[in-house]
Amino acid sequence: MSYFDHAATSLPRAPVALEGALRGAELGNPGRGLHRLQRAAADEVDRARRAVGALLPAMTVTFHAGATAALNQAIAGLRPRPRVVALGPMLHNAARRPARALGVPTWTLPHDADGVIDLDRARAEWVDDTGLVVVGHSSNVTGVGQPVEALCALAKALGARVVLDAAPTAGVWSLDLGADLVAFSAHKHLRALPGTGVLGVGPGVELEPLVRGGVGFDAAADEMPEVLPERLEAGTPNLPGILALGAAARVGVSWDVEAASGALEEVVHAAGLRVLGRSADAPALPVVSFTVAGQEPRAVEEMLDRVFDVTVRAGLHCAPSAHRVLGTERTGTVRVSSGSTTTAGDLAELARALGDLARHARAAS
Amino acid sequence: MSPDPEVVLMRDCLGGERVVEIELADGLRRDALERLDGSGTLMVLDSLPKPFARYDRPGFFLLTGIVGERRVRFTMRLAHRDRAEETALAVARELAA
Repeated sequence: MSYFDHAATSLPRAPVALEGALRGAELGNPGRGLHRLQRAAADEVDRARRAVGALLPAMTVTFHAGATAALNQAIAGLRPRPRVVALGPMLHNAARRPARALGVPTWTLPHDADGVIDLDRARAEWVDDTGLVVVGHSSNVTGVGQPVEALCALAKALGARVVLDAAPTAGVWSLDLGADLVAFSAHKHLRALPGTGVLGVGPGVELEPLVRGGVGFDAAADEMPEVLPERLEAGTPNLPGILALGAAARVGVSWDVEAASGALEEVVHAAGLRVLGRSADAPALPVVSFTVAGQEPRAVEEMLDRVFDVTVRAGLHCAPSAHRVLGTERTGTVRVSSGSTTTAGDLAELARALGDLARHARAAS
Repeated sequence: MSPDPEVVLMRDCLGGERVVEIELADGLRRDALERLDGSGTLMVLDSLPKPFARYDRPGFFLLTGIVGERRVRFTMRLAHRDRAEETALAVARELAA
């Protein structure tokens, strides 16, 4: 099978991550007591936190049950509560839904036809009282990146905090961009385990915890402690997930992302298929959405899977606002996405499958 | 008499459509697809490595599968999602007849 759904989850998992997970499964409960297994666990979690911290300079690393949980904590927990929220145009529901659930007015940052934020217009059309900007680092539908660093500078100048959804980019693009809060998951390009996420908390950011419980100290107090990371880490931590992520972060991702992105797009273009949302001259991950004339994306996904043994993903990709920008909200698209383990052979299989499929679909229509 | 077709997966997608996958007792036959209600459009991509069939009743459902294989997929359009399983099983029984 040729796997092209790395934007959903990257497979296979990194061997070092699996080793870390096994180690984590055999340890005690960190922060609770002082026996040897507990101390070993606490040391391992600290080590993992330092490794992940290298991806998030000057931030405090807190661990959560995935990027979605981290984004909810960031957006719903931010204090003071924002009175108005600016939304990136291509947001995943993991960021968009908690932002909309705040129940305050929202506005969408101005953008071009590919969904890339137009900073000049954003500055000119900035809505008064905007206290929070929620933006994705790159689109999980088109792979195209946003000008996050400049957006953070603009937001800071105008008095707004920035929450960055870095789930698609962690490990492959720098996250040192000036955001106040950065969330990502462990199981995408870092190839660690699902069910593990990170929220990087910048200096001076105040967060109300969404989950309360034991942290291993201050047990007599009714309130959660003020200090990070414990303030946001109630309950027994996911040691296998955290140690897997720490191990994966230490090794890092060795991959020419730009070349991979160009190669993947070229394969889709060469098949004569309609690529969506990648006309701008913006950096992009190897995530390409396309449509096939006369064929529903779901049928294309099924054909690729059952006829060609190539795994892709069709639909709205949990990002309906991105599909509204692209004009594909009714049917969605077919998305192919590669990862650091994708081989030249996989790409050749994809090229053969897409070429065959496109040719026969044209002949049949 | 053939055993009843069996629902093996049911899932919502695209904000309202419902996918129902059914395992037929025998492989999907082209002649059975051709006998289905004429209000739909049948397309069989014969020249693919495996013959992929799609039968589309606009506004109602899309049936897809590989000729000769037992698993077929029904994508029920929004207006018919509440009767997705019932409709898919009824069509699957027509295919098996």
